[in-house]
Amino acid sequence: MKNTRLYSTALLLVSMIFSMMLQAKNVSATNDKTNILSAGALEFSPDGILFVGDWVAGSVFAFDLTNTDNNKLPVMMTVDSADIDNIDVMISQLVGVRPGQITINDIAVHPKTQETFFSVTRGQGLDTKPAIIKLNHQGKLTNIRLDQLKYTRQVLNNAPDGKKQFQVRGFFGPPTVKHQLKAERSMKTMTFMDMEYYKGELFVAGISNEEFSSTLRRIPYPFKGQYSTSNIEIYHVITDSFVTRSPIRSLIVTEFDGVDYMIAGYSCTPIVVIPLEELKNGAHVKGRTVAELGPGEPLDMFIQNIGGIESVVISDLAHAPKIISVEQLISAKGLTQQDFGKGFNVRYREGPQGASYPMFGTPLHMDSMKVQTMLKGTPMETRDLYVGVTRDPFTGSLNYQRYFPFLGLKVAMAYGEPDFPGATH
Amino acid sequence: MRNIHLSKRNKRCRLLLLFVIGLGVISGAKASRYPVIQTPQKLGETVKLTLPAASEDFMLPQANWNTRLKIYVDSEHCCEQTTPVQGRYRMSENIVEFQPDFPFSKGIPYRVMVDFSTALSRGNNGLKKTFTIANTVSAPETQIDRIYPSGEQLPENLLRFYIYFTNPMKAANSLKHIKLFDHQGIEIKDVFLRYKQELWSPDYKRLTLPFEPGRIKRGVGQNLKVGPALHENLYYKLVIDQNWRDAEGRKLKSTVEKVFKVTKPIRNKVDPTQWALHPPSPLSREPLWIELLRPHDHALLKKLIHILNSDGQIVEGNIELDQHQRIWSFKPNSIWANGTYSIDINARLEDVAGNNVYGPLDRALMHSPKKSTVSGNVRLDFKVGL
Repeated sequence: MKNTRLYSTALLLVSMIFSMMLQAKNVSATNDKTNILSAGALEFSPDGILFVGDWVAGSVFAFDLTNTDNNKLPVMMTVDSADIDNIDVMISQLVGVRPGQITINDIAVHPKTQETFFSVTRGQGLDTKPAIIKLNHQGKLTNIRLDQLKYTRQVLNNAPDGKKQFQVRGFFGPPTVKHQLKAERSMKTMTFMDMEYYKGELFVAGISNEEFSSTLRRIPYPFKGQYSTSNIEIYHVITDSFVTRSPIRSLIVTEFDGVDYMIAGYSCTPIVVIPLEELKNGAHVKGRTVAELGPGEPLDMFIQNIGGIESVVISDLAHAPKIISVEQLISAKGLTQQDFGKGFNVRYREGPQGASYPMFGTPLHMDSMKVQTMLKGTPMETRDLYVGVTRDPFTGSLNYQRYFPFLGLKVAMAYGEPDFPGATH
Repeated sequence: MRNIHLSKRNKRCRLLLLFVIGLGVISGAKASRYPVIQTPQKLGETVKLTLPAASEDFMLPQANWNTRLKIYVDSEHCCEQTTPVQGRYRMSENIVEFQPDFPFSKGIPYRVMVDFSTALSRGNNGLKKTFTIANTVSAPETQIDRIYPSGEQLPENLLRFYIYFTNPMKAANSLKHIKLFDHQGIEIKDVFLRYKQELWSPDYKRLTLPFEPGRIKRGVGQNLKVGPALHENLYYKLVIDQNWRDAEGRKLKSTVEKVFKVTKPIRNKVDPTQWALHPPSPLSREPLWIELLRPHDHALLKKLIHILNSDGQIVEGNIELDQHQRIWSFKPNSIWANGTYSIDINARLEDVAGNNVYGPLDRALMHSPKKSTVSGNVRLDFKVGL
């Protein structure tokens, strides 16, 4: 009996060593050394690979979520049925911390199941853990056990180290303490601003540790360990200056007239167009500034066909989401210093401005979701929705909302004539 | 005896039962006749529900434990409309174990709820228990480490205090625990800036406490109405009370007082050309020291002054401050060479009244505002040896 146990222990050991060797081989192939340390920017490939930007580890993780049980589009019978108030409180309960002890960093909709995924930081200060949370169509939240998924990883070269901080600046006066504290943030947190998957490549906007830090990384997927990097420079009309350090905040890639373009938004908010073929390894690329939307910070961009027009939807920290036609942006004339060069002026609005989309509360991260609808008086049809996290203007709660692009209305939140007794609607 | 109705009969009976269960747990009795919840005491531990092995009453062969054993973050409203903590369930013999996806955090109250409602439990509809993993930080009690500016004589237009703590603090209602008294012991109200977001360092060990700007700057509303906060030649006492809680919820070790005398306001710019330099001897590691003539912001002194060698390279070394931020000294890591060095001063360097090299914080408007001639950095050369 004892012998058998010894024998089996030895066998176990041998097999463990063997599997470790196998893993080690696998590790070197995918450059895997540690687990995921933070979950920031999110992006799905069309078949359901979830890319997660990990700014702490300076890596992109690709988790395999292609295996889905149910790929039928969800059916929405009424407009507000899928909204969930206090989504952050629910997520904090799920991961076992108090409300206020999580941060929602990004959202993305699974291309097959149309379920919403949130990247979350659990905890505060030094004791934080990344989490990916899924919201299904029944309103149930699930923490995705990342350790159970197949994944690969791409380590970024030249990611900023943790030491670099921003420089202190004041605004119409000397810097205040708040300005100083702002500068204490680690620049590493801007390693990933946004990611876009397009035709077998992941476009990662962010910064590097170089002086002209605004960087676009083109990473082939499946990861090969190698990828190309370009530095990007643009002209910013409002400040009448060239932007080489501050990164792209959000981007999309799309085809127009047979040519692939990147459309990108910057802080404060120039919109820039760059043909993909210019984004070559080592290139210093000058983007064509086609619009200035005014002070703000783009959070997310995605493409939707709205009333037959391919449009870019841009969510922003400071304004309502903007909807601008792709054609208008790509064919717009470049804004150059020769045309402007008039010095700093925050009131400049130039190029196509599109339309603002009304959302209730402050819209934050957004994405696009496909659903089947059967609204009162209309036949069953497939539609694209906006999904997003918004902050309630009165209670400050974070709410998960879905909107029909053609509607822009939350009857459950606003009072109008039809709410009054006797009014007909 | 098997058939105890917990819910209605009387409370004493329930207490007695809990007591018995407690005893059972303590004595490690395996053969408890009632279910026992074992809660985590330390980080990384799990919740365990031990069912009485011999009793059919609690045996739920088809039990789906994730609907019967739930753990919540406890709150006043718990646990209707509350999302349970996600985790894995394991069943072995008569023990159900719950392991949360993320380890239970210290200091957060959790509630365990067990539902026996449809079992043959003869009236035992459920069990509940709350637990909190104690913050067993062996870190010593939190106290105030330093207060800057550290001097006992501070100008009338002092811009801010910095308070350093030995452990992270809870960032809320700080102004409730900080008071300023005048020489008669009367509290001076509304003296510090109230801002919705308190100015903590990322590790919550340093609070920046700016004075209400309206009371420092001349000729603006509050300054005209209630006057400046501090008056020259008088004594004041800053009191930070012991009831302030740190991040672990513990009170401070003691109340701390800082008494200081107020001196003339400083209303001119920081002028490095007026500083007195004391160069070191060549081929030594003696410190270079500089008399700054007035107290400066301690953090900026350490950050914004560098020593450059004749090639313009930064000389590595150690900065020390003395005389309540009036003396700046620098000891190089390697010996000084014979030759010219320079002191590189970033123009953002401030004194304790917020004046910097560019200019004073508070400039009288009637004089035409002089445009600063300074841009970026100021350099002072000094010679070693020669």
